[in-house]
Amino acid sequence: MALVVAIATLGGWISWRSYNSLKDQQRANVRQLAIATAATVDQFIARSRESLVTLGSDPSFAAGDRLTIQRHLGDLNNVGGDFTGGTAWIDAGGTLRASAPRVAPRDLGWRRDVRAALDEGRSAVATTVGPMVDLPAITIAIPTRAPDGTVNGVLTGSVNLPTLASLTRGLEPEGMDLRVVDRAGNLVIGGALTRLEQAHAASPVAQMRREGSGTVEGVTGPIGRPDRLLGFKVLPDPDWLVVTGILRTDAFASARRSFRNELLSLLAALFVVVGATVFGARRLRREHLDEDRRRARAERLRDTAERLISATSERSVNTITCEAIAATPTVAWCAILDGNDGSSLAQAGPVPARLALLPDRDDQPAATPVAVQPALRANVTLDDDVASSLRLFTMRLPGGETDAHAMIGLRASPTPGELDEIGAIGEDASQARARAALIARERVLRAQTELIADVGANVEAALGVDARMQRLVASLVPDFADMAMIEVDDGAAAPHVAVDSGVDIGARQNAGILATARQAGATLLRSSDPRLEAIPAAAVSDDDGVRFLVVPIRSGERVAAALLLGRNAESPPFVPEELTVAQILAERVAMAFDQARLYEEQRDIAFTLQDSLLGVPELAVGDQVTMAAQYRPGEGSLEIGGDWFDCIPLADGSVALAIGDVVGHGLSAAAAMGKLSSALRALALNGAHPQQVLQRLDVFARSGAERVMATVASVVLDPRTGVIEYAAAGHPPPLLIEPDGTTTFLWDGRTGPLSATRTRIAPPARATMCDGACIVLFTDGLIERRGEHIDDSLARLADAARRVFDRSPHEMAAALVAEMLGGRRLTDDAVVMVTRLGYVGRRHRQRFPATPRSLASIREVARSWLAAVGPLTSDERRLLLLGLGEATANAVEHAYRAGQGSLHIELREHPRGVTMCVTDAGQWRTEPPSEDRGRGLDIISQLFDEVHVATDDTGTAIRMEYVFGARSKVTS
Amino acid sequence: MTQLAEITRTDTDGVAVVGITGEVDLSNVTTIEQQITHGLAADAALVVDLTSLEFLDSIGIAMLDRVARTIPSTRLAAPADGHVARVLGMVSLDVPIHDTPAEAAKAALTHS
Repeated sequence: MALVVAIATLGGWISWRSYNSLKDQQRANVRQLAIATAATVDQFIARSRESLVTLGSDPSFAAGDRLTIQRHLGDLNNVGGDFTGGTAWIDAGGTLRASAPRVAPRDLGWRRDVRAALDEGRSAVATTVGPMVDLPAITIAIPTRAPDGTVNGVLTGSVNLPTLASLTRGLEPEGMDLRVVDRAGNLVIGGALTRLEQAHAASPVAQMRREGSGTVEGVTGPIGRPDRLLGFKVLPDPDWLVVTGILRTDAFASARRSFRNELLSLLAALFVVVGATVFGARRLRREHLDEDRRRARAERLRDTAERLISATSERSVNTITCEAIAATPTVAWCAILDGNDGSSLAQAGPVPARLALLPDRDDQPAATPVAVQPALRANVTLDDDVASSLRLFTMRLPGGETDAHAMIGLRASPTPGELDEIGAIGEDASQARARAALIARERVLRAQTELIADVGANVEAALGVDARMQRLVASLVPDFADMAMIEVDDGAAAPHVAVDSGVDIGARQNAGILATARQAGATLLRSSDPRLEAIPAAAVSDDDGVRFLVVPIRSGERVAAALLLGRNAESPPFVPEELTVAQILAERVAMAFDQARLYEEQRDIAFTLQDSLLGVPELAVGDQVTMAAQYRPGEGSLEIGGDWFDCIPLADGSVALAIGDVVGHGLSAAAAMGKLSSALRALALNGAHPQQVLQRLDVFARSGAERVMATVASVVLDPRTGVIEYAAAGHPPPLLIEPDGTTTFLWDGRTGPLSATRTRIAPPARATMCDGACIVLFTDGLIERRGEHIDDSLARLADAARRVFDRSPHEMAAALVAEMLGGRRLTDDAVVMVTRLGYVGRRHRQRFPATPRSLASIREVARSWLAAVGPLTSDERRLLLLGLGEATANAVEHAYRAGQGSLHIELREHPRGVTMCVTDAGQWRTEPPSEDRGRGLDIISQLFDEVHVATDDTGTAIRMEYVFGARSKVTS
Repeated sequence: MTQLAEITRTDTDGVAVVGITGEVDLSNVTTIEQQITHGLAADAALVVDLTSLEFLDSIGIAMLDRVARTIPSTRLAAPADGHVARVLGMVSLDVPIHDTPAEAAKAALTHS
């Protein structure tokens, strides 16, 4: 056994020696061949470059004139140039402009040699296929320059590889094969290289690039394969590698075979012994390694899944996914690109700068790595070095808002386990993206819900349709849209339009969007949308990229308004969720508008009467009551408050007066006021006395869902007797002013405000108005002044009323407002209502000294006054003069007796007749009438249809009514 | 001050005819009364001519009443369709009224 081993060892040693010497010789040969070939190729390239430089010196290149260049290149081609692969001129933009043979312009800016010439101004060499012919070629590129020295293009000349091969063919020694590969490992000349040889051929270049320097010539090759030794010589500029492959010669083969046989017999013996143990150990170790890898992979996946779960935005999901894929052992880099525009969403690792997406493939299953494929130059533009050393695949990531694709660059072919890992990351990522999208959508919806609430509240804070429209558009810009416009058709001749616009879309007013909205329903409109054609051109304008959203606003079944929202090109477009938001908003707005209309209607109802009362200077109720009112709204109280007044003629000839003040302002106060005033009117018309009116109104005020707090005063005046009944619920007392200047506040008949206290009936209260007297009803806004005691306020009012008593009710009311309020800002509404008892019509009032001499003057005045009273005959005038004479004579006699000084006459004409009033400070009938006086009264009573005599502590008033055409007893 | 009323006196056949022109009221009634009765005895025949009287009220009527009581033969002259007659018709006055002063004078003579 030992002998066998010894002999075998000796034989093996001899074989080894001869084999080694043979190998050394071959190494030297290989090296020589490499150097010689390299020199040939280098010379060839240098010659070609010189030739190209000569070619490029033609003035046509300096001029950059494409047509001349084209003709020049074509001519050269015809005479037969050195460049069997053709010539081409590429402009500074990287586009091929002229070529021979001629081809269509195309972008060659991506090519490394073209870039080197354009960007660095140096010549470069590359192996290419095309562009002019399909044969592989060596292309030499040199920059061409404009007269000022700047690079204006690239001139390339290509030499087909077979042409080059014919040059080097003679160099091949016996038993060797010549190979020329470029620095990327692509074969240029010779037969195919094995993958192992390719790797070794590329390694010196790779080493040089890595270290910045390295062996420029030498021998390399697979260990243990002396027949596959590779000699190399790296050319300085183009980085050519010239390789010789040693062919298997017989001598080499036999030496190798004997050595191998010896070695085999030795090894066979050892193999049996060692094999078993080694095999077992290695297998054990491999299993161990596999297990480690699996565990690490599982751990990575778990980490990734946890990070993905905590990610809330698509952006962070993309980042995490990218990092996780890049962390997989064979992956060099990973980029996530937007499928729509190719923009980068996330990157990890050394991602190539110029990266474009592979064409989308419909059959590509989601989240499943496609078969690993070499980079496709046609679709992905990469630096040559990246493309040559990497493999690429893409993986689509579904879920989420964007169409995302992961592009993954590999260092080597991945194992199935790594592909699984990448696929699992992809699936996790897709779920996480969907989740993030959901979160983002929820976030948007929540923000928009808040927007709806904000806008709604903002809109509802205004009263009236126009105010609300303005609020609406103002609150939508710029949070929801860049412009907002609303058009409301409430039946008026021209629709209301409100516009708010951050941009100049506001010029498109009255665009008729309502009609469009009615046609289109809620629609997302783009400016390119044909439905927008329905909107007149002004609405579309020429702003490309402005997107419109038209939202109809319904009132019942009818589209009563339309909201037009616009977003600029810079703003994000409307998404379907926002359409929903806009519709919800529209419903809310529709309700707000309905409410506003209702409010306006209620307000209109409440104010119709007051408007009619305020609209005329004075309102005549029947023949004997004149009423006028002044209303001053409080400032900042939204146009109307809760004050109201009313004047209601009753069936029995009486007149009901009412004034009220509802606590609060705005819509609810106005509505309550409307209800209360209607109820009071109904009660008064029904014949209720003031006490009953207030008691029932109190019940009414408590009856609704919300109690209405209010103060009210109610007065019923009987013009025939001058008697007034009155009651007040918490309201300031009415003020009575007599013709002689006496003022009285009517403090009786009071209860607390409506709804405020327990219902009770006010005590009956009465007073008498003398003819010509005034009653003033008012709300506390008229008298309240900060820091002033109520008694002082009332005294001020009484003073003012006395001063202006001689004026008409209208003038009185205006004067009272002016006197009491002046120019003060009102915090509360103020109403003052002046009612005078006395005929309405032509009137003369005059005060005379109570002396007999006045009587003639009185007659003179009365005679001329009566002359203008149309319906009277001259007889009637004389009789009326007689009646007045009797009354005034009476008064003068009284005045004599009472020792007082004046009497007052009032002559009034009204539609039915004439009224004469005489007031004095004396007293009638306090003593038995003398015969004379009796005769006077007798005359008066015969002359007039009605005679009223009122006597109290202060004097006597006689009122005589004469009715036109009813004179039978005297005139007949 | 212009006089409200003017008095004219004519004595014809023993009848004093006193005409009142203008107006009679409280301010001049006393004067008028004195002028009417001035110089007349209780049995004189008197006619008060109211034909031209513009204004007469109860005070004037009362004055005429007093005159008639002082001089029982007093007759009043006022056209029946005139204003004064109508006024006089409205009150109860026991003084005869005639359409013209002539008729009144005849009646006054008869009475006295």
